[in-house]
Parts: sequence; C-alpha cells; structure tokens
Amino acid sequence: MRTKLFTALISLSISAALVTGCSSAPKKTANLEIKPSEAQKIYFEGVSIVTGSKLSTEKCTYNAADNKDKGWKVLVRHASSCAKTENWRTVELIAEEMAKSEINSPWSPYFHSLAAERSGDFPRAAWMIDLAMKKAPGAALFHYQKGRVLWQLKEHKESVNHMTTAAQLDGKLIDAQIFLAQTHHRNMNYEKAATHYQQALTVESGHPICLQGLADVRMSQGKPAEAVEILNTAVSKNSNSPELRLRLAQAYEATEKDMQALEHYRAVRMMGKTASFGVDVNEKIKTLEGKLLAQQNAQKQAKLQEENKKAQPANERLPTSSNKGGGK
Amino acid sequence: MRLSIVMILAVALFANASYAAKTISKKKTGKEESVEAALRFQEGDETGNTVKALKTEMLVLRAEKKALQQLMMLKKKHAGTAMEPEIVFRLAELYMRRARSHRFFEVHKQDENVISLTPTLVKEASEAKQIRQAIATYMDLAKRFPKYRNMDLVVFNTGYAHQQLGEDKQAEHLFSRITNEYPRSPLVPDSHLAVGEINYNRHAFAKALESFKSVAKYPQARAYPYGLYKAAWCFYNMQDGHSALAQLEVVVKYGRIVVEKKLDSKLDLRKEALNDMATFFSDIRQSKEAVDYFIVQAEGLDPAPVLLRLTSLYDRHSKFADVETILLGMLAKLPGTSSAPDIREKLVWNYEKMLDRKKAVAQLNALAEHCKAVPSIKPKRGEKTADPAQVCAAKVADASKKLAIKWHAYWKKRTPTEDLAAASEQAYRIYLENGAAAADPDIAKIRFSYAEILFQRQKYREASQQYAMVHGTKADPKLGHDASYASVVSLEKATDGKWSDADEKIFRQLTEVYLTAYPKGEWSSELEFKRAFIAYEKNRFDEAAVGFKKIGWSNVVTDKNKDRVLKSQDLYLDILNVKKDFATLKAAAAVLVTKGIQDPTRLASMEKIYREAFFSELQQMEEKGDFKGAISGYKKFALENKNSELSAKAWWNASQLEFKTGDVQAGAATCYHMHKLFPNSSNGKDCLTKAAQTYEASGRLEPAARVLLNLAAADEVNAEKWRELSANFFALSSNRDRAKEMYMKLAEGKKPSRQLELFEKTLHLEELDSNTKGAKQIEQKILSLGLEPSTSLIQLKTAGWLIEKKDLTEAFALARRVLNKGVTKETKARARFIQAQVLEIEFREQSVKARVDRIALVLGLKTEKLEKAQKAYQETIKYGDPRTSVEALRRLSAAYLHYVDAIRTMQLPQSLSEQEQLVFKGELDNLAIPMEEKGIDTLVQALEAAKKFELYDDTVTEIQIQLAVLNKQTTAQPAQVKLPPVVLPQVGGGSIVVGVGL
Repeated sequence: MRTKLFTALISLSISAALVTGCSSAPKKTANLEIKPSEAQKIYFEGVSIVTGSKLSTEKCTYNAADNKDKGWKVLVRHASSCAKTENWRTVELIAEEMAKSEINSPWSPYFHSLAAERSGDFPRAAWMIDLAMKKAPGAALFHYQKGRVLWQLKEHKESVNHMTTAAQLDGKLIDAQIFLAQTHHRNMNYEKAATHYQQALTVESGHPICLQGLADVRMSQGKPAEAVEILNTAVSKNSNSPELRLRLAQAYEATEKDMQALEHYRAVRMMGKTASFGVDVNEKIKTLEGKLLAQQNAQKQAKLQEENKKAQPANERLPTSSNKGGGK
Repeated sequence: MRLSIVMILAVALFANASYAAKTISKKKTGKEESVEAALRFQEGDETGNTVKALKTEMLVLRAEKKALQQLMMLKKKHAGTAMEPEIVFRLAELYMRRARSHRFFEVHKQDENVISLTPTLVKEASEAKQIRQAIATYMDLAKRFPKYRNMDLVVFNTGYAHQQLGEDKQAEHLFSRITNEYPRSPLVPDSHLAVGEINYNRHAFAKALESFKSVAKYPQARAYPYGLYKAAWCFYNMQDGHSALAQLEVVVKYGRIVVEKKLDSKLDLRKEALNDMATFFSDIRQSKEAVDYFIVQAEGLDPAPVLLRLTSLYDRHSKFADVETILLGMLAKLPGTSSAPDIREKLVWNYEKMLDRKKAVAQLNALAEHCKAVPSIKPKRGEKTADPAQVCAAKVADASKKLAIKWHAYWKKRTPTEDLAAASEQAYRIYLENGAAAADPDIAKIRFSYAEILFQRQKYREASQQYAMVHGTKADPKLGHDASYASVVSLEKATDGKWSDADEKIFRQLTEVYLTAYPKGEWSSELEFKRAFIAYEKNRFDEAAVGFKKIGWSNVVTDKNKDRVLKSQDLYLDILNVKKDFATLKAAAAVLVTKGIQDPTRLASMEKIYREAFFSELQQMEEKGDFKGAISGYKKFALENKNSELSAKAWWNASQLEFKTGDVQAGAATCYHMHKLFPNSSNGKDCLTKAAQTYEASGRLEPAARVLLNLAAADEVNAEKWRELSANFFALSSNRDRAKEMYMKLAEGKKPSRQLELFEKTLHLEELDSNTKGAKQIEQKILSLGLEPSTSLIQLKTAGWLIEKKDLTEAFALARRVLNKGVTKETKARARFIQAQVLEIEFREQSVKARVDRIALVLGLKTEKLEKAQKAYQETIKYGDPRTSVEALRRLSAAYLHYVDAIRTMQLPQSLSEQEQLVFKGELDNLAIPMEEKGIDTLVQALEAAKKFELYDDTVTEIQIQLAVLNKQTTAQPAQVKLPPVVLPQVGGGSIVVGVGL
C-alpha cells in the first residue's frame, strides 16, 4: 500500500491530469535511448559532478541581494557549497530563486530534492528529482539521486534500476558503480558486482573499497589468486589500511601462501588491529606460525631423510607421513 | 435830373452795404477775405448755409436800414423841393425791397439757428407790414404829388403791392385805372395781363380771355406772347381744345418769329407751348398722328421731349397701346434722336405695364445695345451736363435693376412661371453686364439676387460663380458671408456630389475665401467638414484628418452642429483606424470621453473605440517587438478597463507575452490573478492551466496548488480533478494538513471506490507525519467501506499487531477472513503467512518436557504442530509472492532448526539409566539429523529465492550468515551496502563527466 501511494503522489503532474486524470500510471524510468535535452546541454556546460565530500568549494555564503541576476552558474555554485555544508535552508532558498529565474534549469528541482531528502520528505524528494529528470532526461546524476531516494523509500529494485541507468549514462559516476557493485555483491551476484567494481576502478584505480570489494568477489568466486593480485594493488595504494592487509592476508592464506599471509597478519597486528573484522589476528598468526614451523620441521626432517636415504640402501629407508596413504 | 437822383440813391445804398460786408469780414477772420467769399454757400452744409443766408440778409437789412435813414434824411432835407416826390417813390420801392428781406425772416421763424442769432428780428419781421408801408408811401406820394410824372408807375406798383397781399380787388382796380386813366402808358398790356391773371386765378376764364385778348392787341409788348399763351389755356379750360391747340400753334409760330427777328429770347414760348400742346393733343387727336404732328410743330426744335410728354399723358391714363404707338413711331421717324434711350426706356416700362415681359426684356436688351453705341462725351469743366453714354447706361441699369427685382419678387411671391423667372434672370444679367452697375452701391445685392434666381432655376454652376462675385464686391458683411457660402453650396449642387479635380480645385478656392474672410463664420465648420469629406472620399486621408480633427475636437457640440461634429469625430477616428495610427486614435477618443459626452450610447461607443484603439496599439507594439511595453500596456489596459470585453484578453495577452519572453514566473503570476480579475474570461482556464504548469515545471508546488484551486473554480467540469491535484501539490509542499483536509473533503459523498483512493492518500500522509491516531481513524473509515485490497491489508496489519500482542487466535481468525475473500495472491500469501506465523508460535510453544511415558506423545504433538506450520508456510510460498515466500522459507527453516534444537536440548528423564539415556539420545539424534538437514536446505532455498527475486535488502546477507553459522564456517565479511553519498554539481574547474555523449 505504501509503495502504491508514494507512486501516486510522485508521478502526478498537471499534464498527466489534463490527459488522463490524476491517477495516471508512473512513467517508466529513463532508458539508454535517452538523449540529452537542450536544457541539459545548456545547464551542464562547465559543470562537473563530484561526490559531495570532494567538492572543492568555499563556505555557504549565499546572499540573495548580492546574487540577483548573476546567472544560474553562480546560484548552482552557491547551492552546492551550502549543500556540502548542510545548510539546507539556504539550499532551498537558492533552489527557489533558480526556479523563478531559470525555469528550464534542472538544478532547482535537484537541490529541492536533496533538501527534501535530508528533511525526510521522500515523496517530495522523489517528485522533485523526477522534475529534474524531465528537464534533463539524459543526466546520470538525476537517475542517481532518484536511486538514492528510492533506496531510502525501500524501493530497492527500482532504486537499483535507476542506479543502473545512471551508471550506464555516465560510466564515470563512481558512486553509482560502487553502489551497484555492492548491491550485487551482497546479493551474491558476483559477476555483476565484479563488473561494477572494475568500472569504478577504471575511474579511480586505487579506490580502496572497490579493490577490497572486487577482491572479496574474487574470493567468493574461488579465485583467491586474483584476489591477491587485486589486494596487493590495494595495499600498495593504501598501505595503512588494516582491513586491506587483513583481506590480503586471508587471500594469501587461501592460496596457501602462508608466509605472505603471516606477513600481512603481522602487519595488521602492528597497526593495532588484532581482533578486527571478525578475525582473531593473533590466533591467525599463531596458527600460521605453527603451521609454518611444522612445515619447516617437516621440511628439515624430509631433508634429513633424504640425506639418510642417499647415505643408506633403499630397503633401509623409513616411511614418512606424506606418503603413508599415497598409494590409495 | 431823375437819373442823377437815382444814381445818388444807389451809391448811398450800396456804399453802405459794401462797407458793412467788409467790416464783417475783417472782424470775423482778420483776413482780407471778400464778403462774397465769406458768404458763399457750401454744398451739403445746410446749417452753415442758413447762417450764411441769414448774415447776407442781415447785411442787406442793415444796408436797407441805412438807405432808409438816409432817404428819410433826404426827404426831410429836400422836403418841399422837386426832389421830394422822387425821394418818396424811392422810399416806397425801398419798403417793397425790405418786404423781401422780412419775408426771409418770416420764412425762418421756426429755424433754431436763425432764432438764436437774431431773436428780435425774427420776432418782429413782417413782409406784409413792409408792403403796407410801401402802399402807404405810394398813396402818400399820389396824394401829395398828384402831378408826379411817373404816376402810372406809382398806380401800377400800388396794384402790384395789393396783389402781393392777396388784395386782388384793390389790385384789379388799380390795374384798371392804368388801362382807363393812362391809355398811353407802356404799362397797359401789363395791366391787362395782370387783370387776366387775377380772373384766370378766379377761374373766370371768359373774363380772363378778354383781358388776354386785349394783351394780343399789343404785339410789340413783352406781355404779348404770354397773353396768347394764357388765352390758349383759357380756351382749354373752357373745354375748347381745338381753339386752345390752335392758340398754342400761334404761340409756336410767334416763337419762330422771335428767333427769326432775334428778339428777346424770353419772348419765345415755343417750348412751353409745345409741352402744353401735348396735353391738348391727347384730348382731341389720335396717337398715331402725334409723331408727325409734333415733328411739324417743333420745327427747329426736338419734338421728342413733347412726344415723350405725350406718352406720359397716355401712360397716366393707362393708354399703353397709345404709348407704344408713339414710342415705336418715334423710333421709326426720329432715328437719330438723342432721346432714343428715353424712348426705349419708356417702351420697356410700357411693356412691363402691358405685362409683356418678353418685349420688355427685348427692349431692355435693345436699350443696352443702344447705350453701348452712345459715344462718351466728357463734360467740360464747370459744365453741368452729363456724359450721354453714362446717362444712357444709367437708364439701362435703373430699368434692368428695378425690373429684375420686381420680376424676381413676383416670381417668388406668386406662382412661379418660367417666363417671369427668365425675364428676371435676363434683366439681372443685363444689369450686371451694364457698365453703370459697377457704381451702384446695390450691385452686390443685385448680383446676389441674380445668383439666387440662377440657383433656384438650378443653374448651379453659374449661380456659384455669381455668388463668388458677390463676395468679391464690397458687399455688406452679411451678404458677403451668405454669398460666399452659397457659392460653395451651388458648386456642390452643380457637381451632384461627383467631384472632378477641377471642380474640387474651385471648391477649395471658394471655401478658402470663406474661411479666410469668416474664420468664425456660421458655415466655416460645415465648409471645413465638406472640404475634409471630399478629401476623405478621394482617399486623401491625411488632408481629411486635419479637417475632421479641427471640427470634431475644437467645437462644443450643440444641437445645430451636432451631426457634423459627431460625423467629423467618427470619420477622423475611422481614418486613424484605417491608418492603424492607434496611439492617436486612442488619444483622440480619450479626449472625447473626458470631455463629457451626454449621450450614453455615444459615450459607450467612444469608450469602446478608446479601448479598441488602446488594445490595437498594444498589439502593434507587440508586433514591433516591444514586448515589455506591450505587457505593461496590456496590464494597464486591463486594470483601467475592467468592464471592457477586451480587458480579459489584454490580461491574457500580457501573460502570454511574459511566457513568450521567458519571464514565465511573471506570466504564471499574471495568470494566477486572471481568475480573480476576470472570472468569466474564456481564457481563464487556459491561463490558469498554464500558470499551474509553469509553477509545476518550476517545482513551485505551493503556488501551483493555489492556482489549481482557482482553476477548479474556473473549470467546473474538472473541478474535482484540479482540487485533488491541488491537494497532491500541497502534500508535496509540506502543507500536508491542508492536503489531508482537502482529500477528506473531496471524499465526502463520493462513491466508495473514490473515497478509498482519497482515504488512502490521507492515510499515507498521516503515516508520514507519524500520526498514529489519525492513521487509525482513516483506517477505520477504510474498513467501514470494506473495499479491497485495502481492507484486507489493514486486517493483515492488525493481525500482525495481534500476534505481537499474543492474541494468536484473533490474529489467525483475521487472516482467515482475508483468505476467505476474493483477494489477490499477494494478499492471500500475506494472510497465510500470518496464519503460518501463528502456527509456528504454537509449534514453538509446544514443550517437549515430559515424563518418559509421555515423551512420544509430546513429540507427536510437537511434530504435528510443526507439520501445521510447515504446511502453512508451504502454502504461503505457493502464492508466489517473492518477499513473503523468502520470509516463509526462512521462518520454515527456523522452525525445522527449532525442532532440531528442541530435540537435542530435550531434558532426558532422570529415571533412565545412563545406558538408556545414551540409547535415547541416539534415537533423538536420528530424529534430529534429517530435520537439521531439512532446515539447512530450506534456508538454502530461501537464499536462492532471495537471490532470484533480487531482494536488494539485507535478506541475502542475513541468510548467508545464518548458513555459515549452521555450517560452522567462518565467512568472509559480508558485503555492506551503504546509501551512496550526495553528489553535487561543481561549476568550473573540473572535467565534465555527465550525460550520454557528454
């Protein structure tokens, strides 16, 4: 019931009402045939898309009087700054100003969507991002935001669809790729997960989460060697990450490279993480050390026997553990 | 000696007079001015001339007084001498002379000037007194000097003096004494004549005739011809015309002798006789003989004057045929007569009296032609004779003028006849073509009348010309004014409204004349209108506009000019409209409206024009691309002219221009106000729809919601749809309370299905607001409707809540009710899942703690309940709802594992031996192991289902972890899914990474 009502509110529009009445069915989400609209060409010129935390911007210093008639770019810059600093009231004001001065711009509804999302008004956030999508149907960012809103509305499948569209529209939208990778990863759809991790890594090759996730996928797929390779890359770029090192250690362990595994477990312990991520590192180290010691002892014993064998006749050779059942 | 005395007396008399005159002159002027010059009359100076005459008489009187004093002195000095009777005779004569002077003062007794100057003289003046003084003096002379040598003269003068006093009897007596007592006196014929006159005056014609015949006995006397002449009159008065005529023929004959013998011309009385012969002739002879008779009689003289006098006599007796006979005879027999103009003039008038206007006009023409041939002879200086040519022309002018006017007047007053009109017209023409008319002060009036008759005879073009000429002459202002206007009107009639360029040129000249001379004339406005109207008809709008503007906007409307002024206004406005000069059109109409038009219909019409012009001007502005101006103008128009049918359109246009120019917010705001300002506008719905769409497109949902409310009011058919949409927008713009209120109001009285939709929306908003109480109320409303699937879903929700409250029976029953309804598979799946959960709880609660003898029973019960739960879950899964199926599998798996756990942790009876307990535990293990495998398998199925159904929540991970625990495996850290971070646009500085192909 909840889903249906949300849809009823979100998908409403006057145009739809004029044609079919209020209870029109929701439109299908964007597909790959979507082409950038004129508005999109105009309002994305000179605009790059960055994760909020990475926005290189000043403080939220918007003042309506100072920015009157200065154009949409100034308003967008201010809105981003204020969104980054979570000054959502000002974001709303700027979005309202944009709505008045630039009706064709998708940025006003986009920022309205962000502000509504933050206040927990997801139907409004969804309606606003739909409006932005109408103005710029080919913009990956808006499908991305739609996916985010739907995710919070527990509309997981639709959310994934929009994120997929966003990722397809803009392969470099790394956050969409990571989200999709993680979602598929969690659902044990390793192929898809790997694909999205890899695509994310083409954008940012050293992205630790992606590397770690891809490595986990490879591990789950029974490809620890590939995992080792990926995690080595990850560790080389993020040498201070105990989690990566732990993953690498586990991968090495899976490939029976106990020495390397031990080395990275020890590194994890050196970082002060002895019992993190559900793994008892000390126990691992102890086990591996014991194992390696046993191996060393066995190797020494084997070597000694070999030397004895060379020194004695064949019928005088002693049986060893490794070849006890070898004939069965 | 007699002569010398006379000379002395004369010198004495005139010396004084001369002296007196000179003295006056010097005293008056101080200059050497002659008395004659001082006393000369000035023409036209009546008062002055009277004074001068008075002065003259006073001088004479003074001189006479002096002479009288001197004569009295001489009489005294020479008393008893031979000079005394001479002196007395002169004294008598002086009295007779003074009688004339006194007569002057008597005549001027009433003259104020004379009275004021010489009041005593006037009062005392008496002619009769002086004459009686003279008579007394003569009688004194006769008495004292009976032997006086000129006694006949004394007697005659005495008789004359009596005659002057009207004392005819004494006079006749004294005249008779001359004929009787002085038969040799030269005064005898004069005395006969005097006696004849006295008797003639007494109408004693026979006695008088005797006296006159006595005069005829003295052919040498000066009185002779006069005596003959008077004798003729005696015959005439005695009804003896023939004798009278014959007697006059004698007088004529004697006149010829006087001429022949070169006697005193005063004795030639032919002219007087011929004149009187005309009188006598008319009585006794026929008119046809007259010309020949008088030609003979007048030998040596011009017979024409006599003949003309004769015609006058005939005329006096209305013998017009006789007049015609004589006049035509004169023309025939006196071809070179200088009286020809008079003859023809008389003919003209005679024909008029005969009412033969054609002949009158013919003679008038003949007269005019004749006059043209009369040579002009300028009179010499000092001569009083007139130029014959001018005299002749004057006759033509006089006759033609009088007749033209007369005939015109007849024609107008009586039944108009063509002959009379034609005669009048020709007479006017003759008059005006005649040279003498130029000097006539009435020429303008005459020409005006001529133009009038031309006009009346529909000779409009000629009338126009004549009217124009009237204005050209120095006519009186009114006549000139009327003529000037009439010239235009006539021309207009001549053209019959079809104006050639040539005619229009004349028209313009004529109107220009009028307008220049009479800029504020009665017809100036009308002429300006006509001039403008012709230009208008010839499509010369600029020219026409100037005229119409002047008339229509400079005049106060009166009853008289109303039609013209209003028509000018209309035409001017029409021109502006044709020229699309809407700004001027608007301004012009505004002036009229603000002037205050009394007629409400007219006022409404002007207001409409004003508005339409205003509107068109704005449209023009729009066409020229001045959108800002047009928008502002449209709004101003709409607000100022709210009652106009165009106001709503203007407002609509303003909104559309705002949309067109990209100022969509302004456009939307304009449309928002449209419904309030113009609720009945046909564009109201469209405008509001566009406003709502604009706000929607801007993401401004609250304004959009408000506009939709207006739209609902404007669009009754779709009102409910717009209200619901408005509520939706309120819901999305954080105004949820209003949205809920609107949904609930919309639901009132609707069909259940419709109510359900609206209740569900309200319920959703209550949930968003975490308003449990409100949500409950709405749910109750939904439940009361009993509509699906909502009712079932609420029941299931309630069942879930009942499970939490451990009211398993009710929960199960509620789920069963749902299952028993024709609901969807998904709903049934959820209902069955509720039942399964209840059954599972009962299964779990089934204890396996028991004595040895009851263990089988307890386990049997536990197994039985597991089977029930299992069945319920399996049936749930069969409905195919992904999420419910996965959950069912997980719960089923958990139930299996619970069974395993329950068996394995079952407390063994203490009564059994250690060996028995081992055996018993072994048996339980045998029972648990397959069940445990079943539990794990079921969980694996749940995992696969979750993967298959792409449940992107934590389900897969949870199952994964569960499996790892069950398998006693250490799993890798499960994948975590986090809400992706907010992504923001960064203006400038970065690479563009968005969009397909960008």
